[in-house]
Amino acid sequence: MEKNRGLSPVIATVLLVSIVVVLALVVFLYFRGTVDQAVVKIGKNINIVCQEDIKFSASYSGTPKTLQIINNGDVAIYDFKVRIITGGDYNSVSLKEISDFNSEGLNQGGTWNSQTSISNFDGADELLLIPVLIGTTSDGQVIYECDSSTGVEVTL
Amino acid sequence: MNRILKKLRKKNKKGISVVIGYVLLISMAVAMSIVVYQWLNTYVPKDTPKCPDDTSLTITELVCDTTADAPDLKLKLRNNGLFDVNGYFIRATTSQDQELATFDLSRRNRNGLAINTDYVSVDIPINTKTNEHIFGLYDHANGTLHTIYSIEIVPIRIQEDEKKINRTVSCTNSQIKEKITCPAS
Repeated sequence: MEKNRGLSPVIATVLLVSIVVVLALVVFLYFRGTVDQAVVKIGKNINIVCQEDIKFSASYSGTPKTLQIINNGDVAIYDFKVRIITGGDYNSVSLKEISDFNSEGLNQGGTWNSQTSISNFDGADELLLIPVLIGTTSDGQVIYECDSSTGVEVTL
Repeated sequence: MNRILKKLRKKNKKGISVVIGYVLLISMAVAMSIVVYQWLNTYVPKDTPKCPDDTSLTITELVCDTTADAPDLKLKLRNNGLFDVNGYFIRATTSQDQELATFDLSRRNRNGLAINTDYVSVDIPINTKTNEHIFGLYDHANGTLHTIYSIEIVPIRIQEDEKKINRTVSCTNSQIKEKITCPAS
């Protein structure tokens, strides 16, 4: 009788602790999915890299008109999200999808020139080139699109 | 005697449960703070090496040499800044209405300069002038002659970051541009 009475608080404590641990795990896993994982590039949060370290120039000129991009910053740019603006509307495409943009992106100081005019730009008023970078998380490498405020406008 | 033992046992059990409580509480707090620290740490601004403002190169000689079968662009550079330069990007425009110089000349070097990825890797200490650097404009592979209308040079420096790792830093603010039509039409 005495033994049985002694066991119950231990069991209660073990149950309590295990329930708390399980609940904490469930809550942690749920919120982990909703909160963005920190993406890092050159030891910094990739958001800061996008704002401070990305510098590039772009132009759509020449005869025939070609898209030219120079990476003036010290960070490689993997791709660009091209926002093609016509009137008040726009649609977004990846530069790699619509052109022969370098598969490995633009290295530091790298340049790229489309060999021909890009038919997707016909009739459009301007472009907004938004840099896309490769960053790392605890799960490995991820492709990260910078905020549109870091983009460069190109008049067509 | 039995009573005393019972009391002691009870006291012991109570004591352990409090310790377990503290251990759990502290370990949870530590674990949470580690997670939050690692996440927030990425937002802390870090000093990335930047090119000093007083870095400067000038072109002392720029010649379009058409005496040979294939035209060459020949140039000499002088470091007139306050910091050593470890190389440069060299690009050109290949049409008159091209706004950006995207034609990379570094790999067209013809007098054996070291090329590192997309730039000419050559040390130019302060107050020194380089020998002649020669860039060929004729593509032997496909028989194309490139006419250039302007060149753009961006100095490069190798600088240590916080972790003493050497980083290549481009000095975009010290970029130089020069108009030249080579070969002249």
